[in-house]
Amino acid sequence: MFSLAKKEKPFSAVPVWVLIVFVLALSMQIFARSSALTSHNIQPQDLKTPTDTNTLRLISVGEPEILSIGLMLWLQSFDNQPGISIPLADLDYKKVVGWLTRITELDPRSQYPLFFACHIYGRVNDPDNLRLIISFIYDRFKQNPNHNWRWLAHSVVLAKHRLKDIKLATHLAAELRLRATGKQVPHWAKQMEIGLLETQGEYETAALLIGGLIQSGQITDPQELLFLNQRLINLNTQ
Amino acid sequence: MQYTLNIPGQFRQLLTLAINGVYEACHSRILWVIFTLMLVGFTLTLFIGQVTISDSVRIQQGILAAFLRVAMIFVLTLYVVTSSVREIQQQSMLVLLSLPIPRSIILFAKFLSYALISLVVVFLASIELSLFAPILNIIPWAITLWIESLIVIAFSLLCAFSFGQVPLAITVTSGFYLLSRSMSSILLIAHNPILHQDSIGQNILISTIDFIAFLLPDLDHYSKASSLMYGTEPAFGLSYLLTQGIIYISLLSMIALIDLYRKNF
Repeated sequence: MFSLAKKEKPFSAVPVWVLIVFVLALSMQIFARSSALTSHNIQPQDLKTPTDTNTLRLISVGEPEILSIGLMLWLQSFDNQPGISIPLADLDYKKVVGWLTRITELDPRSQYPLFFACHIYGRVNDPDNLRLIISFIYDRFKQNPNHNWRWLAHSVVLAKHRLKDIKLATHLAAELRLRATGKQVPHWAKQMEIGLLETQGEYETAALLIGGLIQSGQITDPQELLFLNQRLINLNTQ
Repeated sequence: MQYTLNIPGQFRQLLTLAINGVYEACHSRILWVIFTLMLVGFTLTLFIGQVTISDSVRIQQGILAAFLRVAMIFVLTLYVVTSSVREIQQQSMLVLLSLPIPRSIILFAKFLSYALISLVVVFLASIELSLFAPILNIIPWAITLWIESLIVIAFSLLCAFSFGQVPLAITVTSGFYLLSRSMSSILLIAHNPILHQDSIGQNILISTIDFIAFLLPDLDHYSKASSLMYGTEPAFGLSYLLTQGIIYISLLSMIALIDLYRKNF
C-alpha cells in the first residue's frame, strides 16, 4: 500500500489553467527563439591581436593542450560569424599567423594548426598572405624537422605552384633535405630539391645531389637506385 | 472548481510564505558568502588593475562583471537547490501541503522569495561594480543579470522538486546554464562545418541541436561584460531579453507545477 501511495497522481490532478499556460509558454518560447535565431545582428568582428603565450598558459590552468584545441576550433570557425561568412582572404593574416603560433606553442606536438595552415589558409590567393603562411610553416618545421617535415613538403608545392617562386621552393626543399634527416622522412621528400634544380636548369647541382644521395647509402631499394642512376646519367649528358 | 477566486486571501498566503522564505535566507549565511565573494572579486579587480598597462579601467570592469555574474548565479543556484531539497527531506514541505494552500501558491511563494533574495544579490553586485563603472552602463547589465538569475532560480526550483537530491539537481542546473550560455556558438559551429558531408548523421545532429536551441533561453545575451565595458545595448534589446525571461520563467514554472501537482509526498 505504501508503494502505491508513492505513485504519481494522474495528469487530471493538474489544474487545467496550468496545462494551458504551459502550452502557451512553450509555443511562445519556440516562436521567440525561432525569430531571434533568424535575425542575428550581422556585424563581422575583426580578429583580435593574439594574446601572449604566458597569459594563455595561465588561463589554461595547467591544461595548455586543451586550450590549444579550444583556440584552434575558435580560429577555424572565425570566418563564420552569426549570419555572415567572411572570405578567408579578408582575414588579417598577420593575426592569423600570430594565433597559429600561440596555438602551436601551447601544444607543439599538435599537427592540427599546421594542417589547417597548409590546407585551409594556404588556399588564399594573395601572395603576401601565402608567404606569411609558408613562413609560419617553415618556422614550425625548424622547431622539429623530423616531426613537421610533411608540412614543409607541402609548402614547397605551394611556393612552386601557387606563388610561382622557384627560388623559395628550392630553398625550402634544401632545408627539408638538410634538416629532416630522420628515418621516418621518405626519400621523395628529400629529393624534392633535385627536381626543382632541374626545372631551373641547374643540372650540375642536381647531379651532385643525386650522387651524394646514392653515396650516402640511405637508398637501399634496388629499383630506386637504378632510377636515380639513370637520372644521374641523363643530367650528366645535359 | 478546485479553486475559489479569493484573490486577496491567496495573495496574502503568497506574501506570507515568500516573506518567510526571505526571513529564512537572512538567518542562513548566504549574505556572508555573497560578501566574501564580493571581496574576492574586488581584490581580483584591484590586482588586474595593477598588472595591466593599458585600458585598465575597461579590463577591470569586464573582469569584475564576469566574476560577479558567475559567482552570483552559482551561489543562488546552490542556495535554491539546498534549501528546497532540505525542506522536502525534513518533511517541512508536508506541513505546508497539509494546510489549505494550493500547491501553485506554495511554488510561486518559494519563487518569489528567491526572486527577492536575488534582487538583493544583484543590487549588492551593482553597488560594487559602481566603484569601477558608470551607473548608466550598470543598469541594463543589472536588469539582465536579475532576469538571468530568475531563469536559473526557476530551473533550480524545478530540479530540486523533481529530483529531490542536491547533487543531481545542481549537476542538471549547471548543465542547463552552461548549455544555454554556449548555444549560439554551438549552433554556429554545427551549421558551418569545415567538411560538408551532408550525411544523414550530420543532418540529424544539426536538427537535434536546433531543437535543443528552441527549448533553451538566450542566456549568452544576458548580462554581458561587453555591454558594461563599452556601454552597448544588449543584443536584440532589453525588451526582447525581458520578454524572453517572462516566457521562459512561465514555462519552467508550469513544468514545475505539473510535476508538483502530480507528486505524492
